[in-house]
Amino acid sequence: MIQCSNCQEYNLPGALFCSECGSRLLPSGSSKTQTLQKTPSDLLIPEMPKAQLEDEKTIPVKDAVITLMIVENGQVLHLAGRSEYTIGRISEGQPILPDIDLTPYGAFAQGVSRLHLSIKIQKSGVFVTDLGSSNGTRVNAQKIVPNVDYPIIHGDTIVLGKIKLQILIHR
Amino acid sequence: MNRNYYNTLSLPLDATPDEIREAYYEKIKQYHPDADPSPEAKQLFFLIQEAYEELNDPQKRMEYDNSLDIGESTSILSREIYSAPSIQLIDEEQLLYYMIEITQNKLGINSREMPVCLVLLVDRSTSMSGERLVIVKNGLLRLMKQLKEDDMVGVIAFSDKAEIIIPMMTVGKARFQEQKILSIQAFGATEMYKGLNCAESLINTRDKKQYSKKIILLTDGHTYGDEELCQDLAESLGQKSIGLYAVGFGNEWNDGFLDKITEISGGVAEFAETSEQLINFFQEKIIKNSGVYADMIQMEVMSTDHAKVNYCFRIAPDAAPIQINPVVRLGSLNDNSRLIILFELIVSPMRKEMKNCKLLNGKIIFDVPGLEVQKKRLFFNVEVPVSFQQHKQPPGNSMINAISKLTLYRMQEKARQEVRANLPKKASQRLNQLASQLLDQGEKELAINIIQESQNIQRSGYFTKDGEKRIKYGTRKLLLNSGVEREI
Repeated sequence: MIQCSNCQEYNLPGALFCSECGSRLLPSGSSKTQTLQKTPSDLLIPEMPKAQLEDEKTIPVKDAVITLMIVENGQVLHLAGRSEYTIGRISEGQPILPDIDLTPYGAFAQGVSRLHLSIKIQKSGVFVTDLGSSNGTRVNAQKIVPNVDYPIIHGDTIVLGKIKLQILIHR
Repeated sequence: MNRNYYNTLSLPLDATPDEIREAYYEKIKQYHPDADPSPEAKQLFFLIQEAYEELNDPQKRMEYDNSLDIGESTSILSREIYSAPSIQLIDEEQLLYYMIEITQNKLGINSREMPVCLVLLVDRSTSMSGERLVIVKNGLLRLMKQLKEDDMVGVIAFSDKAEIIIPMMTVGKARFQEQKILSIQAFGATEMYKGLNCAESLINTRDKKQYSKKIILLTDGHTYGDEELCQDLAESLGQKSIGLYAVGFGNEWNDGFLDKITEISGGVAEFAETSEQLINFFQEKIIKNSGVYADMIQMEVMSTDHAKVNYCFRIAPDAAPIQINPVVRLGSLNDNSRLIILFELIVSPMRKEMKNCKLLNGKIIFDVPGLEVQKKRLFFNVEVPVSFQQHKQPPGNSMINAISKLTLYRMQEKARQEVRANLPKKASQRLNQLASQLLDQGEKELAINIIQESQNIQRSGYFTKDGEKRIKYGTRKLLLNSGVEREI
């Protein structure tokens, strides 16, 4: 959905003018990159290479570090060392647990499914896949189709249910 | 019509065997001696049989096709414009705009000067008395001066009865009967069907096809109880390629109804308050309308599983919304005009990955006078690639212009709905936003009208009757003057 900068109403993707107030809609996806906060956070490996905000086209897979920033409070989650991560919500008695648990961030209340999203790091780039979640996933405000790998780039916003994350890709 | 087998069956050159068969059965039904005992029908009946025999057999058809002189270059040019070159792979609805434009190929075989055959249908009910009837009379006299000697004209005055003031005759002769127009008196109630029925008979007295036939209804009122009859009549006019046009005076006329019946036959309704506006209407719709290069234009539209037509609008030569029926009549095109149609498509949410998406298809069929095989068809197929990313580049100016004006037109449509639904606050707010947009674009007069109406609605909850129509037709006119025509 595209939000009108004039009247704040939402319009369908592909709309050029706001159907409420008639103003021209600016193309979406112009989210600014947030600077990293150097807070101690969940590190999956003890040492992390220096954060470099660069063009992600030439990331060697093994060295890629993905940082997910929770937009609401600025907290960050770093992912490194693997080529695939699942994100969701840990709940009792579950056979498969997601790699990243968003429970501490209010996952249940915010509509995050137990197995919500997967992030894959490949030679050709970084991809996210909605795993058939109940409330869906939005990449840059557009709702993605389940079980399809979507390429994402540094700075994209990903919304799981109602939790908004910004993805930062470092070499 | 020349003795060409395709023309006999009203088929285009690329008709499929199924279409040939269908056309044959339809024509036989029409011209069978039991259905039509006239001697002309008998001749046609045999011709139809002959045509079918030749075209149904593939070998014979091929030989026949080769014998035809089809060395004409394309008489029509068409163009398609999309708002984006691809759509996004998303699990929610999205919009895509699609525009078709048909213009004349100046280098091809072209238009035919078609004389007009007009019936002017004047509402003479009591409410027309005074200034309105004076404006109409003046307009008619002026029109008679501007028509050509060989054009045909007839004048009918109606209220609850229809009276033929001037029977169908050449304009040359009719000019001697002007006094009769001047002496039309106003009295009686309004029964539109009576008037239309009389007009239909009058225009059918001239049954040769080489005239461009139009009925112009000039009225200020509603009709009661005979709306459906009027619609059926409009439908039959459309089938015979007789355009029904309407000019509404004052604020009592039922614009929704007049829009509907004119649209069915490919004509248009307009609002007039002054003599100048009426004269302008005649100028645009009749005088300038010589040299027809595409006649009896029809459009058939088929949605697909992946998208539906949310809105369809004709931008040129007349600005008006189009109902997809699924067959739409679009009248004819003359030397100075082009046809531009804009679709707003809502693409359904996608449930799986796909490379391409079929959104819409259809065809536009029309007659090209002067060609050996008259019928021509234009197929259109809206199929777009699907991509992950949103396409960043905005569409061209002509598309942006058209959608901008269309958005404004629909805003006033919504405001009118809101007034009807008893939501004056919302309507007023929307009109204010509409006025802001118009002021930004330099449309000061219309904006002021709208602001006044907005204030009136806040006070009384209703539009002023004049105001509502002025805004509706005023915003429509924007599309016409949007520069889309020239830019494309």
